[in-house]
Amino acid sequence: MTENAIQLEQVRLSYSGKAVIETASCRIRKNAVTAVVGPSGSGKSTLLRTLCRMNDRLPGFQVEGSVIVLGRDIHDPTLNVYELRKRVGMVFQKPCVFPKSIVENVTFGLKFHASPNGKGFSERAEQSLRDVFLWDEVKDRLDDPANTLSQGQQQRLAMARTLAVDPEILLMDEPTSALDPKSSRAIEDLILSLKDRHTLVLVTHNVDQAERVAEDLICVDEKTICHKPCHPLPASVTLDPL
Amino acid sequence: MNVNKMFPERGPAFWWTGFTALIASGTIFILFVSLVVESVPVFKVQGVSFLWGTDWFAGESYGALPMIFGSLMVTGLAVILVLPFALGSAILTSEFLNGRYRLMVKAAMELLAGVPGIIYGLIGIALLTAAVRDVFGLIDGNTLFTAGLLLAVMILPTVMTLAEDALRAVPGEFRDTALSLGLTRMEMVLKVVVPQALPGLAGAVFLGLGRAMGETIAVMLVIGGIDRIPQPWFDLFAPGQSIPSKIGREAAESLGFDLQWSALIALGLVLFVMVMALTSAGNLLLRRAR
Repeated sequence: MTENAIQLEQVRLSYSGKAVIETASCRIRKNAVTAVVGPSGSGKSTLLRTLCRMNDRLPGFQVEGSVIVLGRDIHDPTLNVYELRKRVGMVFQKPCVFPKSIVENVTFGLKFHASPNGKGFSERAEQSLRDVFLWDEVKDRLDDPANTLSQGQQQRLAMARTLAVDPEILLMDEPTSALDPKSSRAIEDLILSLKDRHTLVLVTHNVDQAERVAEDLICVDEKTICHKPCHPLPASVTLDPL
Repeated sequence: MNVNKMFPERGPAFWWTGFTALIASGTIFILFVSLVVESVPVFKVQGVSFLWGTDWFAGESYGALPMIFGSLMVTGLAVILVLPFALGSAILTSEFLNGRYRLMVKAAMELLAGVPGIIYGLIGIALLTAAVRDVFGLIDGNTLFTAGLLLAVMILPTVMTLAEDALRAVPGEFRDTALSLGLTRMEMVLKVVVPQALPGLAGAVFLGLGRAMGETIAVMLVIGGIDRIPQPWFDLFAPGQSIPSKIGREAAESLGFDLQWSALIALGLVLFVMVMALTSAGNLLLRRAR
């Protein structure tokens, strides 16, 4: 049996007492691609953000039940949340690059975790850019401002920045929804190429995309979730209450 | 130049807004021109030595340097004193306080920003001068330092609330991204939010600077009112004089004494140019920061 990277038991997510997800129990396998699908507003993103405690900042947000990530309850008070976020990286819907050069963007997170002398940064940057198939496109202009890249390239740069920190789990919140079809396919290919080394969790509202890249599927709807560890997906996957 | 190309659609809205814009910009122009015209007599008599003369004796000689020096000193001091507090409280409010508390702090700051200068001046003479005198063991608490300190207190709400706006204007995605990479809250603030907000922060400081440089009544009450550059020049615990406090003291009595009046207008012109120079320097910095 494959090991689980993430395990949710009777999880309830709420804002100021109002439930976003009433009850969620599921397992996410290591080194596999899991897609989280569901209608907009169903709490997919909230669920995903919970996995690296990105909702801590939101006033009134509450998690009940147990969320085990990489073998530890992430709400254990002795857990170092910054260490958790280093091991569980996240890529957001809109590509968000810092107003710095391309290479500075890639090494941005790395700088806070590696030894301060910066040894091996350029190798790491190159490796990360190769991982996201961006190296050949930017290798001659690494010092150009990152915002001169196209949206699709910026999203891959954002992924390279997250990968540079070497997370074991990569969470992606609709990473292709702001991109054109060609760039979306590039990201999908990228996701497939990463699953040997990483556990990937992808939130998407695009069922075709889920079908193309995911082995496991989690449907979120009606404040509850349904686990569908099946591949290929049945042709009749619907987002109706299950 | 083809006017039709510059303004492609010239309806009533164009003419009306154009008229109001002309009045608005014309006011500044007329103000500047009248300052220049009215200050001509003193420059005729004294030449440019008006600017670096150190003696101001009504009816004899007019030297503006002590006032220029005093203005720069108190404004500079105010900014240095206000920066850590304004930035610190802006960061706390924008990054660490939740909705209701943040709004409370903001409301208090915006209320404070509207308190008239005379109130600060009264508190200044009632409390601050005595405090400065006792703490630093001076004979008299009316000093350049006191004026700078009072100005710092006065511009704190303005600078703080504008700086807070600038920090809040940084999109949440940048915060999310920084945190998701494993940065701590403080690293996120210092390495992502503050650099992004730098133009706005500089703008906040320069606006505060403008207010400090022009503040008259509060400074007048605590600065000491002596037209002299301290010996040595960096002795902040000596009484001094700023441009607005000098004008405020003498304007009413000199109206009619030609040369003294002209000298005061010339001081006003110097203040005007200094504030303009500061503002343009600020804008230049802002553009470079981007």
